[in-house]
Amino acid sequence: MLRLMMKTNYKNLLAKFWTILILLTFIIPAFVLAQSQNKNNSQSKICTAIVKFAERLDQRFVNQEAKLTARRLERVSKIANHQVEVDVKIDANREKWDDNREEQFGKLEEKAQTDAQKQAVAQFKSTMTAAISTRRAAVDVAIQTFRQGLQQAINDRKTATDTTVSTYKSTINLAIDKAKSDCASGVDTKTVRTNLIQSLKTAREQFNTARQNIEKLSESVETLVAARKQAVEKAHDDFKKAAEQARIQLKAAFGQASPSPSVSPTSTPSPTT
Amino acid sequence: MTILKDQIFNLMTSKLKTILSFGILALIVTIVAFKIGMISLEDISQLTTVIPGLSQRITPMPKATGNIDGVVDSLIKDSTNEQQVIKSEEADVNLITLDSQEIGDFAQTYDENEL
Repeated sequence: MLRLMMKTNYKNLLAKFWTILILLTFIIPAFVLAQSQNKNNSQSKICTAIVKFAERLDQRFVNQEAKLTARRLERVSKIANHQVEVDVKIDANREKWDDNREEQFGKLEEKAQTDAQKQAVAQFKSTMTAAISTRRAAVDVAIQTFRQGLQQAINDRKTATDTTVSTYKSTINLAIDKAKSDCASGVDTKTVRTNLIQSLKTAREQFNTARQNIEKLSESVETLVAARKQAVEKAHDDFKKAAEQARIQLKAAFGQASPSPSVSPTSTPSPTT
Repeated sequence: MTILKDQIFNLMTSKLKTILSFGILALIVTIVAFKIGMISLEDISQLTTVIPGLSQRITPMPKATGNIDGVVDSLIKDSTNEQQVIKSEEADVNLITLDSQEIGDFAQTYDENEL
């Protein structure tokens, strides 16, 4: 009886063992498969996110480049318009002052009585006309030099900016390509993400440093302004000296006392247009 | 109807009278002030300089008198005037950095949190 009971128990145990074994044979692979699928899902998620991120980034770069181009065109247009405006003003002024000068010379000629006085007036006219031409030529050169320098500075800035943006884009694209490749090779998603973020951060820092250098590049245009100012002032001063000299000579011919030169202020309140 | 017309006529007449009175008074005050030297022609001409733009159009050119100093001064004034005319162009250098914002915005083309 006892032996029969023991045999039955043994059979039961064996049946249970086999049942558990069979169950485990199904459960363990299913569990392992599930784990692997989870990992694959997570991998696939980050890989898709990177691809989408890259696409968005491409579009943003296109938009930003369009904005930059528009702003550059605005700058070109503003400068060109202003230069034309200044040229027109200069021409109009010169014409007006030429007319006035003819009147002034005419009245002066009327006042000349003797041959010596007439000759002195002729000499005065000739000297001052030449001095005006010299002054205007110097001013024109100063303006042209300034404009060329300005254009050069704009070109330099454009080149530097394009290079900086291009480098920035390349660095970002390399980082994204590396992340995509790591993703495909099954590198841990956390590592892929961290590496990509770090690379992007580095790219941004490099871009910002380069950008600051671009801004510093523009500071050099101040020398253009200074050079222009200096050239125009010199032209004016030289002209003034010539005019004062001519005044003395003309007054001497007219028998007038040598003047204490009437010096016009360097800056008039407002220009005539 | 006739009464209404009369009232309108009277009202217009009284308004016209008031306006005319004020006009004549302003004219008298100006003439008296000019006569007693409170204001001069120079003051009147200077009034134009306070109106931007207008002053530039009506600034008188030096009058030709045949006076040597007048002639030389007018030539120097021409030179000074030209200096002022071209000065405004110096500010164009500020336009070089017009695209600074757009360049800077490239740094904002992505956000790490998107990943």
